[in-house]
Amino acid sequence: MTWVERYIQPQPAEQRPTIERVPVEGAECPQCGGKDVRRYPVANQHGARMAIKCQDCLHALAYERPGPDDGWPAFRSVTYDWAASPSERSAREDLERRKDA
Amino acid sequence: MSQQAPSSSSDFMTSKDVRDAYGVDLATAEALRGGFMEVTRHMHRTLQRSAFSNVVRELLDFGVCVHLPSEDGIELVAVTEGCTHFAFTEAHMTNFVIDEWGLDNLGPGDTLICNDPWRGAIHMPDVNLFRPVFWEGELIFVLSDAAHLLDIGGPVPGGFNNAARDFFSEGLRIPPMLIMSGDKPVRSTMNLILENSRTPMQNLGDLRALFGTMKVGEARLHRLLERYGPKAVKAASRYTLDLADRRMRNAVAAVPDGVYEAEEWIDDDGLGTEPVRVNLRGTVKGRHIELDFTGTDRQPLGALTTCWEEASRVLIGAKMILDPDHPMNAGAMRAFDVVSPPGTVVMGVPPTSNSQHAEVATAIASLSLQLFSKMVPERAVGEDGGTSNSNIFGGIDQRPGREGMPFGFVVIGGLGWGGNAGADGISFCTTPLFGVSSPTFELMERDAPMILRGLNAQIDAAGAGEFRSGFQTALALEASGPMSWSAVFDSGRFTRSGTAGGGGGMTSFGYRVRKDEGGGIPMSNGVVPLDHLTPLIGRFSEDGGPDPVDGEWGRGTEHMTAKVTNIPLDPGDVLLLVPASGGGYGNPLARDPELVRRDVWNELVSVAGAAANYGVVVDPETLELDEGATKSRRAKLREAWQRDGAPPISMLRPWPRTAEQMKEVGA
Repeated sequence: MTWVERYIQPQPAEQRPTIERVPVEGAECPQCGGKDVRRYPVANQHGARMAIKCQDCLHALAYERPGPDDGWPAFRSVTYDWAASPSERSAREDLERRKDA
Repeated sequence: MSQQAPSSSSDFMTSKDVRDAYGVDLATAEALRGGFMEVTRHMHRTLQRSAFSNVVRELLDFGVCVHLPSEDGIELVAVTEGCTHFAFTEAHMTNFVIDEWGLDNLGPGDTLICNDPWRGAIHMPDVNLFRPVFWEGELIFVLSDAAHLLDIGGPVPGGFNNAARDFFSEGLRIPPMLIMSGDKPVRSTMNLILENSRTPMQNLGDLRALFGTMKVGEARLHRLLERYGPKAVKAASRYTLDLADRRMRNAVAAVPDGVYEAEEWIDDDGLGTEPVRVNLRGTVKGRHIELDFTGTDRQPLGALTTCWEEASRVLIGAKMILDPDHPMNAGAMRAFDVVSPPGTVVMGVPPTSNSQHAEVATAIASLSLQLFSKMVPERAVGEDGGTSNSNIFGGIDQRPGREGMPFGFVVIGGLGWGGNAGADGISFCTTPLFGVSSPTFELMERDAPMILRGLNAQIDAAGAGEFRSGFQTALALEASGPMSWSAVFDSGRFTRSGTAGGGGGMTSFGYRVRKDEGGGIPMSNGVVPLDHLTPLIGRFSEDGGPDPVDGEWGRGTEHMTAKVTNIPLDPGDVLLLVPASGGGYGNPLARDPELVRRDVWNELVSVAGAAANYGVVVDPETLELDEGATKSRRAKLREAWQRDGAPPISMLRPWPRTAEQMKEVGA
């Protein structure tokens, strides 16, 4: 999904949309030894994350910050990874100048 | 940061545990845990006392929070009483906004603003502010406060545009922007907001109140940092989060492993007539629960969508049923993952509108309560009325001395909450997910050309049960000047069910009211005779009475939905607005007959309603209990309900046609 496709999206065609739980090849659950480990989008106490979880015991092997290819959350700004402009960080610059002085 | 369950099955930590894990003594950790909550209480009082609009100062539609940043993300450490759902949504929104802006770009005195539902805001009128708190050059905390501004632009005053198909028709969408830089207001941001609103004076007042609230929170945190030092304060923050985590995980561990399911139906999206299904599956494994919205309908074409917030608000059932006593913070969220497919009604994708977010929210609160009630039946709670019942009035005042002044006013009538295993449901309250107040009607009459004509408990409307639901408000309002009315009601088609054998409650409905020649309105216990009423929203029988069982949706009404926008009201127009009640808990035939008699004496239940819904016979003249007749009637009803199904839906039968008949039916 390109950045602009995340800005304007159509109503889904299917009546009840689903998410894909992508198998993680070769992974094994350290808690129960299960082999059915999958990566999929969730919300936890930090908001949007990609969970890598055992589907047998639901143990979380890891929670990752979503990347550009994950399409999660549904919307993300095109400027997300742009550098901040000077006006947006002027108070921070002041603080750092004071620290250096 | 704890991502996995603490191993202890105790809800508490010993002094040694705390010293070993956090490097502070237990007394200090507890003093600071209380201190963080006290910071939010100071913020709460500041905002309530200084805000301009009735939405903030009276309805308390706001939230104030303290957050702790770490490498893993940001966690909400403390939040206080106010509008409940901010206790969930602010946890996520702070992560969205700070992740995008960058902690490293924030300096002392900076404050960000954002109202974007795709970055975790509840809806566009809710502006959310975020301020870093520094101590000796180090960023220690992030404060957030959020409040519902009266108007944020768009085609409909107040922003509840039920006709919207996209957010462009809803209001001003504000991505993360600096609104204070180095403790000075950013003029361009202020102007953007104030020049795109119908209520600039109230908005400026509320924004300044939000600024002041942040300053108070920052000052109080500085006092804690000064007294205890940053190392102890940060350690106590982690302790505060871990303690809530531990308690919630222990409550989860007590739930039998398994898969639990619940579903709810929302009336419609205001454009089409199709009901919308929301579904929730809870998979419990040990000390973890995965909540999955798969099976929920796609986002409709109308405004009935939320864009992120159900991913946190769905935890309301967990908090109310699993660990209701401990203060809320993000530690209590760690035991849960929420799966929410994009494109569903609970995870709408842009550019959909979420003007009706509140009706999705109330459905999800009912869904969540239902699901967690199944997990812990002994703490089950009957569903509440399941609607926000939001009424937004706006226009240009024409009263002497106020000519030409724009006004906006929000009225939220109270619902009946569901009964539970130990008590009747609360009356006249918004859904527990909102926890906001009804307005002060004297101030409404001062601030808007509107007159309160009636405010009653709706007789016979509470869901019957051993512990019945609460009663909703029947509210009659008269416009004394021209204005527009927009409203968002749900639970008009579908009753909210009881639990553990309790009966369902009355559905939402509304009428236009015709006054007598002298201007009077015969109204008693929420009942106005049918010869004074014209159906407006709801399910009605052939004679025009509200009827949640055999009534036809939209029969004789102006609208085939209870989500209406910009309805013009002329001076003298009167509305009767009645939201739904909740469901009862337990078999109504097990209710103490004396409690039923008291409800009859208090004119909450009619003599006929006592007999029909509880099998309790009360003498209509003396209002004394007839124990023999009650025993006999209960035996007959027990047999009939076993044969025909659950107890009846509570409602006044029949609804009187004339003022003279009102007394006959006990109204």
